[in-house]
Amino acid sequence: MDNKIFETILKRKKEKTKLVKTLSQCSLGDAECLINGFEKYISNRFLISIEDLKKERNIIELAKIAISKSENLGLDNINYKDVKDCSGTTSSMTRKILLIIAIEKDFNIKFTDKESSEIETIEDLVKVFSLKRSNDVV
Amino acid sequence: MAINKAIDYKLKVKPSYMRLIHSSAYEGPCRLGEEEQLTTEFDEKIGAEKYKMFKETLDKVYNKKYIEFLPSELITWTDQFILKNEELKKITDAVGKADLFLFDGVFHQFPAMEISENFKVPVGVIGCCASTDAVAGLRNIGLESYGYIDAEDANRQLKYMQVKHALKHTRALVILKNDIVSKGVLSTVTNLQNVTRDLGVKFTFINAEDLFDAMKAYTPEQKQEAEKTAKDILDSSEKSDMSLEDIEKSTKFFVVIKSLLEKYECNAFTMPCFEVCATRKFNDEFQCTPCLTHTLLKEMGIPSACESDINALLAMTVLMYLTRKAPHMGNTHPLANEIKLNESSPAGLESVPEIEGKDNIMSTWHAVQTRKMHGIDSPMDKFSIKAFTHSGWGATLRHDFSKDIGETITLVRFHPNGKEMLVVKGEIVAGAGENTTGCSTGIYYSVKNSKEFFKQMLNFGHHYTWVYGDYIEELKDLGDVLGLKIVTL
Repeated sequence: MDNKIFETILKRKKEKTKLVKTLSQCSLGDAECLINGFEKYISNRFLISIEDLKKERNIIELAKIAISKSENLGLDNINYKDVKDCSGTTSSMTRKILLIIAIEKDFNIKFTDKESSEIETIEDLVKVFSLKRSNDVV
Repeated sequence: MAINKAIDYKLKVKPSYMRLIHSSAYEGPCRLGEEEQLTTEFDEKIGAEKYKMFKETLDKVYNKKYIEFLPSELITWTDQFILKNEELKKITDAVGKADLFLFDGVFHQFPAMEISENFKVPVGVIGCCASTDAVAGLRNIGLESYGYIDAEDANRQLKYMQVKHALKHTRALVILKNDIVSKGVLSTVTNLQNVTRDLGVKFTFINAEDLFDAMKAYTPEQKQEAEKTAKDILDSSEKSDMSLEDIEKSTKFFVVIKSLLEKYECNAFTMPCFEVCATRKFNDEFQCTPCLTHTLLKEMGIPSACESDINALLAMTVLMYLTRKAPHMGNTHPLANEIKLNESSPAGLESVPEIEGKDNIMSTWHAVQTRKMHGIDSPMDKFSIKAFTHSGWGATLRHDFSKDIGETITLVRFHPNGKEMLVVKGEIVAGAGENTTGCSTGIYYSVKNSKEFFKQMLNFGHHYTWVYGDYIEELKDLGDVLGLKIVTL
């Protein structure tokens, strides 16, 4: 693997480890801390800027931005790249689900399939995440 | 008791989304990807994600005016490729309640196949490539199945299924006098058992004498309704050559026919004008013609055809249910200007300058136009009231069709065998007969080839039902769903 790519991946992994730690330290009622933390977490995973996250809150749409950036495409052309596979799954859906699975692993929580499907925005994510964590505390 | 209008029938659809869960993460000829997206957990979550989107599509894309969704189901199967009874039961519970089982998802041709083969119920399959796979397989073994390109296409085509089921909920009241075949309509569909078997439309016959008795048994409540209906018509007309009292004689007939439709649980109507006319009851007692009744019933969404023409009644029913427009129907004939014979002048409809020298001109006329020809749910068209008879009785509503020059129209008639429909597109070139008596109000219109139309008329007959708009492609698609051969020019 190219050294530069390897270094970038390693850097992202380290950043993510820090973000997981920071997010874990947010108190359950501190929505601002959680939102800021997850914005950075998603930015790190999708390789998109915090500015993008300020403009767009829907995770599927953010995944489309990520795809457009990785493919050097304008957003107008994203639908050509956000293709469905044989089972009808789009690239943006896949990225969203992989994000959810990553959060489950990083924070040792488990979203039900229904909860996972109901997470549409960063705010939804924070809401369901807080609920899960509070249940764990109880 | 109210008339149960079949036009308002809502198609009952059981929607299901099929997800495939793999037992472990593996790559191979059937799947590929990064390890994380090959896991069981990924399959479960993506299945839930797509099921949610499926439900959102049911809400957003489909027209609830004619579709009623039963609760949707998420069906799961695994890479054992066995649909477990527990999963199948989620949908089989709707057998007997749903008119159609609709499937989307991954490998969803399999639950469609299972339920179709086991319960012989119609299934609809959406998307690549399950739709074509399932439907070709099911049709090969004679099972009713439909394929849709995507949700938009499914929504469009479910309208045809709604028409099919509305037809099954249609029962026509037919007044009988002397013969089942009216003397002016030899080209009617005569094998009604076949019509019931093939299209589901049912028929109830009563004798003309029963109708006369019902007219005699006119109640104060019916009189009140007839008076109000007559007043409403007169008040909203642009002009009238009839008094309120004379119009009420015709609305009396309408109210009595409505009560007979209710009594016999019917929602379509026809009667033999000629044979009943010959009893002299209309002349000596009722002082009305059936024309206004046909008009008002159609405006309510109840098919109502002249002259016991079952063939025209079926065409009207199909066209009305498909378009939600209240059609006109009438005698139809070409002008034959191409041949330039002296006999080429119109018969039955007054001649107008607009048709002089033009080729491929057809005419259609009868005094049964409606005020809802642009849509049963749309505002009423302008109209005048004109007596049918020279004696001044028999209210009819007349529309000045010359105001509609340039409008596209679609004409339909069933074949006497009940298995084919002739559908023709035209463009209005003139209106005529607004101020004449009798049946002679209608339109002149151009068609692609009037000689070819006439040749087909020699197979199909003379009464054509028509609405504004181009519905040729829809009628072709509907023909596929109804199992009718569609003939066009």
